[in-house]
Amino acid sequence: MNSLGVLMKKEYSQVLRDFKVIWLPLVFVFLGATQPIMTYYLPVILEVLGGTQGISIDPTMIEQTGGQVLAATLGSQFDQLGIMIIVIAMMGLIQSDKSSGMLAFILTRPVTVSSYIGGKLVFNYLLVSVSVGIGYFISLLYIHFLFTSVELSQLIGALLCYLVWVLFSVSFITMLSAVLNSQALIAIVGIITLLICRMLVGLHPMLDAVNPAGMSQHAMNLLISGSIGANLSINLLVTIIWVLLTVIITHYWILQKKFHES
Amino acid sequence: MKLEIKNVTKKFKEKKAVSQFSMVLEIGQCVGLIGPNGAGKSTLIKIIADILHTDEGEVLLEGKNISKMKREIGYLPQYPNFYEWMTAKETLLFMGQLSGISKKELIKEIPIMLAKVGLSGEENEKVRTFSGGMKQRLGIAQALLHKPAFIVMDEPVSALDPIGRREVLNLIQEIKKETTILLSTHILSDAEEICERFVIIKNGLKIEDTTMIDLISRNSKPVVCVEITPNDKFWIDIVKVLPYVKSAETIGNKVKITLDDIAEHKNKLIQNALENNVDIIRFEMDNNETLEEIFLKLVVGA
Amino acid sequence: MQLHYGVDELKAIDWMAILPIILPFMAVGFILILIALIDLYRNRKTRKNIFIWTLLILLCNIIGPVLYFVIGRKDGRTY
Repeated sequence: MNSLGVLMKKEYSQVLRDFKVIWLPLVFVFLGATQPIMTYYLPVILEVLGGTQGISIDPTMIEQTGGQVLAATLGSQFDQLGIMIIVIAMMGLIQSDKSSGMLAFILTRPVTVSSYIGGKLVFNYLLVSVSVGIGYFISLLYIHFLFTSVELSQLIGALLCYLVWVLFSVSFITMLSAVLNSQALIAIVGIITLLICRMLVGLHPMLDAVNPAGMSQHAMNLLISGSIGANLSINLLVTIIWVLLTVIITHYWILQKKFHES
Repeated sequence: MKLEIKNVTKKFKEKKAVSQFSMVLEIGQCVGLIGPNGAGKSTLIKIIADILHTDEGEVLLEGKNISKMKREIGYLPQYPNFYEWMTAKETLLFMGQLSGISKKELIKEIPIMLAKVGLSGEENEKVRTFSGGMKQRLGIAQALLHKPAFIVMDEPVSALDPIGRREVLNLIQEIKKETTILLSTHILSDAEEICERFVIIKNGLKIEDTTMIDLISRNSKPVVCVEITPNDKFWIDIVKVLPYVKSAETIGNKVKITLDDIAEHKNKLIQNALENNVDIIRFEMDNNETLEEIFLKLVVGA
Repeated sequence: MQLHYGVDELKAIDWMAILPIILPFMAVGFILILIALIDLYRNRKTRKNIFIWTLLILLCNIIGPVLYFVIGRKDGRTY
């Protein structure tokens, strides 16, 4: 087995031991189920809470299409609490190896920095993708029962777009994890940066094209309107460049052994 | 195969941790890198293990840069921090595979290696339950696993309690028969016990590079120390007038006798004592300074 | 008054219909809490701040158990 395989296998056993393989999908299942249930029962809940205080209920709430609710799952659940959970789950990816000395130790073996980063990134991205995918599927299941169904091609297209944005999130946190030394700092910088990226979406078309969070918007648009946004290919290209950039910085940082000097 | 360290310099924020350090290590040697705390030992070891880059100079193994020869180096950090959730066997399997050994071979090798470092029966115990000495021995097993040409150890015994220290020292004695070892330490008696060659480093500079035999012959003085019973004090006067005795000095029950030529005259002296029916309690050659004395002279005195 | 009456009626009818939908949803949160608490209990000897973690796990939905898994499972180190 080559060292990439060995390192990925190690990631796998670590993820098992951390229970991450259980709780990360569960969290996304929870988030995925939240949106359709909330949307469906919100009028009821509001009425019960508000009683006869004269809150008028928008009748269109219940008549949302499945695509709209699924888009809301991505936009209001995954892109907020979901991103935070991903940051928290991934913040120690390289940082913990740095602080325990295992990173330096592993690199005294004939292991390339690329396979070290590769092992981390590939395995953890797979884990996050599967978790997000499961959450998405559960959301869909609820939507299928409570609302209208969504067309398969839109469904898959939107998920793929969304996973590109997730890829950026994971590689960005990996970079922070290599460069910064405190988990709290990694979490704060990571969450704030990613949430700001997400909030900037929609301000200006130019900004959207270079914003990796634009991919999330494209996914939502696809679900709501059923058509692909105009800048999708540019946005996809730029996001992939962002991902490569974060990977290169991580690689450079570890190769130059910068992590010893602070 | 030899390890060459050429003019290595390493700075940390303008402060030189190692400066212009050069040495050559031949195969089969056990070299102790000794120096006070903060002398640059650890930095140098880390440079040799390719954990730190040099600012100037290079480290060559068999004429090739050390970065390309990682397979030939076994490294033991000062505090070997393995993944605590792995068992001893998993740790060796992980590190061994990273060193490029096939799993099949490792399955065969690991029990032998664990037996060698005295950890048989612990292979399925988690590393987190290990004592410092056990971790260090597992670290040595890990360093030996891929049969490297060189083993570099950073303070292998400094952090251990007396029992752990003894375990590890004995183990190093054992493995030095088969491999070349470079170890750093600030405990001189340890270095004296296991190394044949000593390199003393102070403020990042090499200030001494010598072997045990060298030290003994260089610092030998023709002095013997004889301890006798108080009743036999009369013998001192006899000794003083012997032709080959330069001087005799009494310290309590001990007599320090300086001879012309120690090899030739020391037996004559004993003979003389026996002829005079002297009750000798102890007879010793007081001719070599310990490594500690030399070290103190070099490091503090210089 | 008509509206108020309607809501009451909705409540009375719908609980049975809501339950099979909401139950799995609740169960997920419950499983997370359960795993976290079991792990905390099994390692109670080596963990610090057990009481605070218990509260956090029980009271902060989702985030509590997640934080426990990520940062609460480190043992008090002894070196």
